[in-house]
Amino acid sequence: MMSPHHPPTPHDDAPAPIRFPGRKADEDGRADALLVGLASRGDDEAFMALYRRHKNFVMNVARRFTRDESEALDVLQDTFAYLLKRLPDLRLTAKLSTFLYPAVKNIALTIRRKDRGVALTPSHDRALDDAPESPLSVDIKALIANLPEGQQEVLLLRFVDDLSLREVAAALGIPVGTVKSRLHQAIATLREDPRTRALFDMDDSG
Amino acid sequence: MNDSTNTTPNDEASRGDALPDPALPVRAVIALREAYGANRDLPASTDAVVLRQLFERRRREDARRRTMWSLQFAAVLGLVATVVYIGNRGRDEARTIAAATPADRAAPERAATLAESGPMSAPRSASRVETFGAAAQPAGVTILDAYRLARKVDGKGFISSGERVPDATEVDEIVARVVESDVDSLRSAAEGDGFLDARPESRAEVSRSAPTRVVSYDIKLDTGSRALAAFQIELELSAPDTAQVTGFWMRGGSHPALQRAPFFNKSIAKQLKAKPGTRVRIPLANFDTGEDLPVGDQQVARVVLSVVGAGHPGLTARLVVAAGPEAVPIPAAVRVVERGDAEVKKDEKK
Repeated sequence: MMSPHHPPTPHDDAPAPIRFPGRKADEDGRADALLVGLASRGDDEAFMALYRRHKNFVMNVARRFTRDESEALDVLQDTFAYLLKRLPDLRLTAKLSTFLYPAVKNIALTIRRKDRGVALTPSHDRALDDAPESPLSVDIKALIANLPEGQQEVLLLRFVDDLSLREVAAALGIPVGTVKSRLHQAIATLREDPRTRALFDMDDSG
Repeated sequence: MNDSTNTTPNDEASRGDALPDPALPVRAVIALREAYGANRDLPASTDAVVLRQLFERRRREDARRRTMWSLQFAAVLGLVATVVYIGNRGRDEARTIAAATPADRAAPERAATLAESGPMSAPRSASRVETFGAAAQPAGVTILDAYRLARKVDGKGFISSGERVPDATEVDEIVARVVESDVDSLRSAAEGDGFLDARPESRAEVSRSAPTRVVSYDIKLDTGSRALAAFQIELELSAPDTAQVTGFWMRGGSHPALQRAPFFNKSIAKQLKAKPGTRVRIPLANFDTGEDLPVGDQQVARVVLSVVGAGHPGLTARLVVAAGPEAVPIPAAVRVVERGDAEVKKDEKK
């Protein structure tokens, strides 16, 4: 499933992103900081480029916190509305994801708190994906759900959302050493668990 | 964090720094992404809806911000206008106070003098043809303020030395305020003893063929045994409905000190000839800084009118203030004595 044009480089801190089928490459090569600068001066095209670049990251994080597709869409909209509001005085020094992650998390948790008093309807419990999940996916999610919250966050940001160690540290506001420490602990848990041990049997991570 | 219960955050960070960069096997990464749906992309229709709503929200936010700015701008403008208004009003009040300074400055002195001279014999409001009694110290600027300053100009001042000596212009300005005139009119009126504007209005009530009569009134002031140095009187002249006042003269008093025509507002002639039945208030004032001053009952002014038509004008007087050479109010009575009228032949008018 791996693209032949982008072989993994195991010891690189910021490995080239792994391309997956169905995942669109970012067609706009301009840096986030440049696009933010343009968008802050009213360039709607630049804002739309930022949206296209980061919408999936926002949706993924939102889904993880809300576990509901419609709520995740609300989070998506509120997050980019927040970005739009902050644009005039936003000075980006890192990737936009590091700015967006705390916003997504807070907005998602706020929405969940609001909905806590509402009686659950089928839509609230609706599976995120209508397609049935594979047994491995169920096992992985169950296993990760049992990890401490700090380990869950760094693991998913690093390997699902494809952020570098420094970006994860920036997004969470913690030192890079802490990120590495938590990642090692999370990976060790996965490696030792019988349900996911098979993923590590022919270890290609180096 | 639950995963660092036995270590401090610093311990965790320093321990992590020593570790190699963590990595997962590719198939583990793929499995993780499949489990968390990281590969799913939003449909374009959803993007369109989200973006449209975002831009709509921003448009509303901009409109709200503009409204807020407008309100704030209006509030600031209002504040500035208020500050400017208050500043201007303060300056106006300062000017008014500065203009009234001579009278106000003398107020404590007047109060002390009044206390020494005892109760006044008549209330200030008494205002019939014969009003007896001196007015109490009137409020505001009076002829006494001009008199005091004029005494200083004459070099016989009794105001303590060290004060700025005013010039004659300042005296004139005070007199003009007293008689409600402007300085230029006051000076031009003072050059003669009155004026004549004897062209009758053509009105139904006043016959053109009616004879012109001259009516004169003596204004008399009785100060008893006290010398009179300054006085201020308010006349009220009412023309009858069937006659029109066509001329107005003001003459001085019988005593040499007051022979100069008193100060008055010569523009009252226009009001008098406005129409029959007109009622006009005429502030009148005079003073003399000399040593030879009238005593007792004497004529202080004479009003001469030319009247066309039947009916008789009415003149009443009210004493505002009379003062001796010390420039303090003294008891006095004012009265108006009509001297009768004389018909003027038309060919004698010129």
